[in-house]
Amino acid sequence: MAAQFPLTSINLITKLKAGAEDAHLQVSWKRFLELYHEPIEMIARSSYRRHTGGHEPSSGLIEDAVANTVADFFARDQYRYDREKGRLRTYLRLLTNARVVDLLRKERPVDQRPLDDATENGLAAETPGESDVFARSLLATLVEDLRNRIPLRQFEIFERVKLKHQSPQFVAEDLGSTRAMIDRNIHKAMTALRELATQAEYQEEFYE
Amino acid sequence: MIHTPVSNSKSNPIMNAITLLTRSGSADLTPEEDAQLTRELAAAYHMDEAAASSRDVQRIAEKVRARLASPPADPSPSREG
Repeated sequence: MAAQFPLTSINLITKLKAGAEDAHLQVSWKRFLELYHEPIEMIARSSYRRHTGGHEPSSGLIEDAVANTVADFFARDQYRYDREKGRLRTYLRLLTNARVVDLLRKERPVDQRPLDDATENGLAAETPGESDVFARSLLATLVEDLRNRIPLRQFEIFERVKLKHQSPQFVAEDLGSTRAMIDRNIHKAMTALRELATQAEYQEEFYE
Repeated sequence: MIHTPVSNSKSNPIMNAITLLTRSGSADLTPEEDAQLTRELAAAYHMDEAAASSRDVQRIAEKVRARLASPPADPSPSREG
């Protein structure tokens, strides 16, 4: 989990969007998998259905598609994300679609429609479901960036009250603090979170 | 610059939460807005926590590790978005 990683002044979202070129900005691929496996999986399912005329993919194929997408995202040179080419969410959809097409070629069900160039390269509009699950991953990324941005005790209070739903009074007593101090820390953390969310890296992923 | 939410925020709790987070000005959230935002942040946090201990994610991680250890073969997608 995030607590295992050292504190840094560089946001996680900034690191993700730096691509593989800047080695010092590398994010752990395992951390990326934890945060973004759900949207990639949903994109892969949607892509498979579209290419096969509505067939449901096997769980093994989806696992392979997610694994190959994550591995390619972190491969140097060939699959490098270039921020100039568009949003991270769009690149992930393109990469996932390409990996699903690769797997379909290997799978070759008897009723599979031909994978002509238009089908292979075309990318359907993002579905509301894909948009929602990607947004949730972005919120999780934002929470991790908050963890690295504010004092440890302040994040602990925010985490316990806002994310783990412990009562402010219980947290105050447990930490030997006052209720007013807990409220102040939560307010400061929420202000920091809102400031983070307005940064360009997040704005261009939140909005189109 | 006027931003357009990716999906309809009025009927979408996640996008509504994001709209609240990114609302300009320093005005405090109403209790209802705060509850809505907290709900979505907690959902994202718990999704992340669940992924860290998920056997499915661990199985995929093994496949990623194996693939990263082998040389790449296919070209990258290049369409702009």
